[in-house]
Amino acid sequence: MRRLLDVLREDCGLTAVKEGCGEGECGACSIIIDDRVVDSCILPAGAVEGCAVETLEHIRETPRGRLVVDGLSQGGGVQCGFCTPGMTVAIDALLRHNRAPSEHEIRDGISGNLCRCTGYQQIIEGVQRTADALQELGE
Amino acid sequence: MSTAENASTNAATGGTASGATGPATGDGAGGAGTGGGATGGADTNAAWLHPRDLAEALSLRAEHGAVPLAGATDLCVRYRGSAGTLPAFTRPILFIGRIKELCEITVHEHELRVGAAAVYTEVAAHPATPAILKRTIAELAAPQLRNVGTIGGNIGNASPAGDAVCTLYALNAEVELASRDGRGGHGGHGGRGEIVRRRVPIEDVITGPGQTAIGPYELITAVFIPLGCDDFSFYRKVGTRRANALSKLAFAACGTLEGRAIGRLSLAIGAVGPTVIRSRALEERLQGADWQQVRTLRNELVDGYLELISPIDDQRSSSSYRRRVTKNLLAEFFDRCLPGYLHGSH
Repeated sequence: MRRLLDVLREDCGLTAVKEGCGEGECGACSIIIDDRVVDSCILPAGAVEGCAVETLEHIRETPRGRLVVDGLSQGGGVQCGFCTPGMTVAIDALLRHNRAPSEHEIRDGISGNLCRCTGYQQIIEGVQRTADALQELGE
Repeated sequence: MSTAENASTNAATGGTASGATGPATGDGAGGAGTGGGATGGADTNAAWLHPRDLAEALSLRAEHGAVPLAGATDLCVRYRGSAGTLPAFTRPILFIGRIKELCEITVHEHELRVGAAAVYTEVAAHPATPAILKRTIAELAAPQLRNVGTIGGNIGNASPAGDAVCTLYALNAEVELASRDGRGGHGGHGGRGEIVRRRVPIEDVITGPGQTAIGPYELITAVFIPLGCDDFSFYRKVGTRRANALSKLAFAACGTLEGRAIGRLSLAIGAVGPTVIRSRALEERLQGADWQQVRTLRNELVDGYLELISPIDDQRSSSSYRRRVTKNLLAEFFDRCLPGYLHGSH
């Protein structure tokens, strides 16, 4: 059974899904299955039969996804960029279930995504910026 | 729909590494009725079996000696290869993550029944889930893993450092195991007959590191958690990174109050021995104790627990660190947490 990560990257050409650690620690391979964020590097492809699978390629084209990208880029939450696709997916998933997350909830929401550049503070501020923008949009 | 794929253990990147999808082969299919069935495509030892219901899952488990898999968070790491390669499973995989009965969480009289394949996120969100289990899950892993990881997997994995398992010990959880009896086919165990269930206290299921009393034809189907047994609770996890890191140590205690005295208390410590440590004898010393008696007994109890633990040195921590932290957590529990509840100040 192949990993979902490989099917998405190699068969579907969805290369926003990154392989970082390959063991569910870093979150670079984050995708959304049935509205919930998961790591595709430790998920056998057969486990998602019949499920809705979303990668960043889709999420960044949605109104909320665009605001997540804007929040990260405007606040300096993107530096080397390797964690950014997975981070964006995790943030989008968080905001689906919690439109006004506290700082603690944001930290928990991105706790499965490692970033070695920013120290996270700019990312957290970016999420807050996005949440504010979503409120204004009434999304 | 049946999915039968052969995982080639050394397939490199690209192309179609696997992919026999089609009608079931082998004489074991169709045991659950509607035909089609699911069974390993060919005779490689890493087939992917995708049963539709529990009855079929139990048949496949018996016929193929398949390893149950739901969230895959442990197995895919344990069998991972280098980047870009497939997990090198050595036995057929039985995917049980979508079987409805195994995903349900229900309340039956005074207990919560959590299906073995219910994911942590669902367990934490259920209104009847005891507070100490919600807290354990909140501190366990990260959203990516809580969204697929299961309590059944934490039990089957039988790691002494399993966070959910430690709390389930403290909650006096029982594990439901199911198999199919021999009628209708194979004779003896593991046939295609009625589904047979048994309930076993969690400490009798986990027998050592990675060792369980689960039979070769059995699956974990559910965990039963008594409700109303946690008037007070205390949970601490000690790890490196807050998310994802396996615990150096876990400590879970809960119990009932009778006025300003302890009714029943249970205390479990994880990752300080071959299995989670619990002592009925020491717990009984506290039955009926008020805060003054707790103060009188605390040295004896702390010494008693320190004698029971046998922590090891490993990549996550040292024996002496674990012993010291156990002592500190016992002190925090007996000197601060419990008196707070018994004074009625919580």
